[in-house]
Amino acid sequence: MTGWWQRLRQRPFELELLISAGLLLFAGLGAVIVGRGEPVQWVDLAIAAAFIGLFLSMSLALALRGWGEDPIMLPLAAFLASISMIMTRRLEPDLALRYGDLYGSIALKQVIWVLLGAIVLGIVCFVPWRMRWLKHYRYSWLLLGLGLVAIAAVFGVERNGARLWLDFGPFQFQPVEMLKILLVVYLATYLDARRDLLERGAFRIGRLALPPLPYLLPLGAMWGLTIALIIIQKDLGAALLFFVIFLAMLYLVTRRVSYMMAGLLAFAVGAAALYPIFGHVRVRFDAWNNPWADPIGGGYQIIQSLYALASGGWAGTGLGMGDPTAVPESHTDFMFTSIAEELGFVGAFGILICYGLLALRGYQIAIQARDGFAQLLAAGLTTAVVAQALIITAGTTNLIPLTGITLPFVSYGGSAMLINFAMIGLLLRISAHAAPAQLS
Amino acid sequence: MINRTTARIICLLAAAGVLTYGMLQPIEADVRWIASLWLTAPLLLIAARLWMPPLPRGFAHHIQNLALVIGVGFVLIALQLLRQQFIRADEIYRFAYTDPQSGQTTSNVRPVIEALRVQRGKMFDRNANLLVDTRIAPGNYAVRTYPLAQRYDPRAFGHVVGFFSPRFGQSGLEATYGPYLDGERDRLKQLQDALLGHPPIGDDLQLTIDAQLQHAALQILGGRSGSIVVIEPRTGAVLVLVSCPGFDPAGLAFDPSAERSAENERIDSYWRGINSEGAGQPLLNRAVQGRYAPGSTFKTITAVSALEHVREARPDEIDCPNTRETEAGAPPVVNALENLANLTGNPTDLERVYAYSCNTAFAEYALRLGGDRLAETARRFGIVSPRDPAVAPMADLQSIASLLYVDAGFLDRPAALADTGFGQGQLLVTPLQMAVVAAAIANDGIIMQPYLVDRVMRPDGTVVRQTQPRALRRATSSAIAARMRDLMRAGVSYGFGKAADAVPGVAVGGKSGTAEFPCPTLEQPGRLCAHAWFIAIAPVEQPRFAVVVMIEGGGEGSGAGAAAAGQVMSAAFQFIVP
Repeated sequence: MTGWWQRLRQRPFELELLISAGLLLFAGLGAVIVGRGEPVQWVDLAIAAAFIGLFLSMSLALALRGWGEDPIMLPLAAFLASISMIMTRRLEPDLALRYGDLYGSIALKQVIWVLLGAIVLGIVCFVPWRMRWLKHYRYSWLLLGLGLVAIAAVFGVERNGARLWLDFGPFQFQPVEMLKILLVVYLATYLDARRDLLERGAFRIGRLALPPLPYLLPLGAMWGLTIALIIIQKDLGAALLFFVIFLAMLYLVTRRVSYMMAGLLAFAVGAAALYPIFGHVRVRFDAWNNPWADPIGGGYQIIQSLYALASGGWAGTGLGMGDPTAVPESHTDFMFTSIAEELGFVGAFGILICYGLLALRGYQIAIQARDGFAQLLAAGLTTAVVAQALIITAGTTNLIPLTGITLPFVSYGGSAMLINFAMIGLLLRISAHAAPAQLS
Repeated sequence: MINRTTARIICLLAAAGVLTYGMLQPIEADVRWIASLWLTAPLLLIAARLWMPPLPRGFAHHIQNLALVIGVGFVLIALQLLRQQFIRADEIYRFAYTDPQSGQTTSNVRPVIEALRVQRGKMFDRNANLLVDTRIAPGNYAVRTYPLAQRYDPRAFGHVVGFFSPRFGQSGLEATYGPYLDGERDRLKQLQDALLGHPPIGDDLQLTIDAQLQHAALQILGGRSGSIVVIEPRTGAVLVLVSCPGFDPAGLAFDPSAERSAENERIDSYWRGINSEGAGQPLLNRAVQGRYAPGSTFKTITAVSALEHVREARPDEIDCPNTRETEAGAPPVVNALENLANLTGNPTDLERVYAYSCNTAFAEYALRLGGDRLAETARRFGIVSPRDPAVAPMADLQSIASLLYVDAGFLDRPAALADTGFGQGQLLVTPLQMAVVAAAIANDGIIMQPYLVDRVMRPDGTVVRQTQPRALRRATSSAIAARMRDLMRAGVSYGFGKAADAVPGVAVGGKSGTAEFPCPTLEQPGRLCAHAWFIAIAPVEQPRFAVVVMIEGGGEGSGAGAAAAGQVMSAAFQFIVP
């Protein structure tokens, strides 16, 4: 009788944080709706209620089950998703006005994606499946991911010069997002299985010390995969992200900085070799190096982004008061710029802090995980989310060449939202230290 | 061995130094800032590593390192945001880049949109007729409208009110009174508007222009290129300022609520049209920015100078021969008409040579006076030498100064001095300046600052700025001004300006001018054409109006010029109640 009450009382923090995220959603949606002078519609209330209800009941369920999952991850994801829903609601009319009715329903779609994402998270958390399955079927996962990407490369639709999408009528699916999670799973099993080999160190040919073969082979394969992504799919962002994830996980196993450096160098050499050959690499690099060299062509997007950032100032223009859609892709790749314009430096910094907290908790989960595989998996998943956030925020603020990937949980987009929630679900599963032994 | 704390502090100080250097870089040198930002990354990493408690080598240790790298990455982005959004935000916001090759400009669209939302102030004529208004279009965009077009030809007003275009900029009063029309407000009011989301409302302008007379002046020009200016001599208020060909400012007013591409196409084609060859440069405000030889109207200034220096110039001891030699090798000065002495008499006096516009007589006056005396008189009337500071005659519109000559030392040559004396030489004078000369003589020798904006009013009716008529300087003595009015009356009553005597019961005074300029054709390479000028004042006893008419290639000033001036005068007496 006291058992469930006890368990509920052990998890008040998550509930409180979720309620804060819900309040933010109400306040933000309210500001957008009132600011536009629209009447509040039942749809808006239903959306907010569904969101809060779903996340709160999930939190309650987690508490009642009492497996001791991390209490911060879920509210962080909910918070970022709230920002996403507020911003898509705010951008929708401006986008429709500027670029046509194609964007007429992105707010509602995004809400559906967030709710579906939460359901995916629920499935990962609550359906009793064994972590071992991930290990056992590793090649199936990898082949599934690569197969999907290959299908997209052949049959996909091209958008903004990159062929990343599979077209399913009203919805488009981006298999490369799927590949992200599958790759982390595969790498975690592969690297964990060869941990001893890798730790043993270099083998030598004369005076030249080379990394061990189990390092060289996957490194070569990864390098090949990323370069192939750049060449075939023109997806610079995913290539960079995959390589960063791979290097981070490799570093955790080999514990050698030099391998990481060598890997980065190899990526740089690959990119440099592609620079003169491939227009899309060149355009991105030149736009970063000097956006003003081609202000109405290659540099257009980044210049618009810099103007948007500057007009935000420290406190922002206020929701609905700026002109974020002047930047192309303001709802996807440049969502961070839109937030920085309307919510200012303070708002953008807040978003950065959220990802920082996510990294902190994710790596803590990794440290506390029970076995080497879970450790690597948690570290890999965390790195995947956080590095993606880093790459796109650094790109949109012109700190590094811009590569088109989404801002996790915040950018508009369905596949990314589902996969990100699934990754958070996996992290929660790993952090469930009180879970029954046969399930972990 | 340096201890950890010291090393950490050194790293942090170095990072701070590099960052400060980067933040101080101008926004054009963004590369240097990015480079210094990247340079701080290893420093921050080392500092953070030293700050963290050392962990035993193992998984946790490496996770910590990984987390530090990620953390430093976020710090770099935060620093980048700090610069872009806070420290350099204003400069970046306003940064406009002009491509050195194509001349194409890239700038932030937000200030433009902001400007499109400003409900710019209205403009009224002197009788409170609404000339320019602002309509609020759907989407809270403000669109310039021109109610004046309902009653008058809008092309008569284009140069005065100016166009307002987010693409092509502003001209006329839209440009010079932009800050008022945008709405000068105190900071509290600005903050209030910003917080409540009110579109800012600009101040209204009450002009000195009489819309009816302005319209009539354009009709009088009848499509001929040229200008007409009417000034109220006692105040300097500009009643008419017309330059032909004109343009319709509505042709360039962007309506953001209309279909964008069609609207852009409409404005583009209008812009191309008024800038095309053969359109006659409608955007040039000839009245204040066109410089021409003044022809015989300049004899007014030579006459003033002669009256001021009676001993040297001996104004009433003059003759009017058909030709007058000036220096060896130079062609002699000739009169426009043969045997003009039959009309003036021989010998004769200043009044008669002025009324019959005798070139040889005024060449002689100039030679008697010498270049310095003539230049000194001209300068007081606002026609300056190249070495004098060039002061724009009017602040309300972009206007340019008038020149007595161009090349240094030009007046040292007797032939050049003689030519200048009767209005040729290198003289370059704007119609506005000649109107000021006429107004000075009408106003007892005192030049009043010409102005177009009488009053600036807030939307609530409070007056922000009221123009007080301001005496700039005395151009000549009251007595000489009175004498000059008699001379001008003579020019109209019996001289070559009779056509200007068009107002019954009112004594009009005036002086014609025929400024020759080469206009070669294939058949006649040496052909000369003439700009027709006329300056007029009325009534001569106590003038209410000073008028200048200038018609490009209009022929004889005594013909087309005088006739047009007479029409303007009679319209002025008809429309403007004292």
